[in-house]
Amino acid sequence: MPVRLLCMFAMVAVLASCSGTSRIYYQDFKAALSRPADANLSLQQLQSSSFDSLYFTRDDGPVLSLALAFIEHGQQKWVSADNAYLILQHGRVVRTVGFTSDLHHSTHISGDPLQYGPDQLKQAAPWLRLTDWTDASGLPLQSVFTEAEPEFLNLLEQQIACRVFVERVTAIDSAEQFENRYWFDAASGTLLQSRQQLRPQGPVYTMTFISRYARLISPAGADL
Amino acid sequence: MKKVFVSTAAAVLALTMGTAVAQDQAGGSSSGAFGEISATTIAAGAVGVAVAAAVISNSRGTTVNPEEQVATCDDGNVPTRPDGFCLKEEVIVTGTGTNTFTQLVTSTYAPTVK
Repeated sequence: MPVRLLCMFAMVAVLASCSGTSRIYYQDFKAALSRPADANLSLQQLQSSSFDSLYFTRDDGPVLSLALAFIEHGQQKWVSADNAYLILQHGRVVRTVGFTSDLHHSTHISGDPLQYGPDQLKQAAPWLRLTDWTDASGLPLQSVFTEAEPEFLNLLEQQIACRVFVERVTAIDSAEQFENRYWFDAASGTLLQSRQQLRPQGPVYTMTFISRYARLISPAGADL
Repeated sequence: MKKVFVSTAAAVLALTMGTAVAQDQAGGSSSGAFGEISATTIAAGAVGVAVAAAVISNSRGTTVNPEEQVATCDDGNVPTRPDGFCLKEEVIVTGTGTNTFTQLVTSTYAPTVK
């Protein structure tokens, strides 16, 4: 008798688990707990693309691939699949659209030492600017650059020697500090990668100019 | 001859520059991008908890009732009498001239939903 009861219970359980509702619950859990796949473009894909791509990571999240939509007034506007925009000038994030808390404005961008390239970054004077956010305005930040030990970037199965610069940023109001890092191709001085925190305790964005990287390692890509 | 030399030099310089400083190419759109910024700002665990809460809530089988409609008296208030009926009071005037009489008449009626 207990065996029959057990078999019936098992059958009911099996039938119930096949129902549409249970399956939807299972799929919801699976989708919610799984990590989205990382973007991984091949050299051929990068070379055949008519526009540049940028690898973008927020903290330890998945690697996204953003597309370079516009270059306007010296600013590069990168768009994500959900139409969020990341606006860079001289490789620095100067504005965001569609993020949790957007950076709306940054003053004195024309004084950003990043525009001078790696050869003159070491001698750059401290740079002060004010930043406006969705939830805060007039946040003053000051940057000082120093050169760190050279490193190799290893992407698309090829290494590139890089000069590395560290930007020590101080929030004047709170005296909080954080560091940003920039990787420049040692030969050409092209900015290839950066890791930027835009405000104290904010997320860390890692950006890799993967199309530039492809152009550097592949002679065919240089004509893109 | 001089013009030929200058134009050749310019062409060589342009070619060299083009090779050394390849320009970034714009023209992409969201369809050419992969991955959503909004997805990176939501912790997977938080989504899991939210889904779990939704599943539990749904499994309880409770439904949201439409707004309950209340029956009221003519003055817009709910009945205060113990029997649930509304009280209507009228002053009836009878007679004419100096022989007029007033009488307070009360009646009850059922409340209605308006």
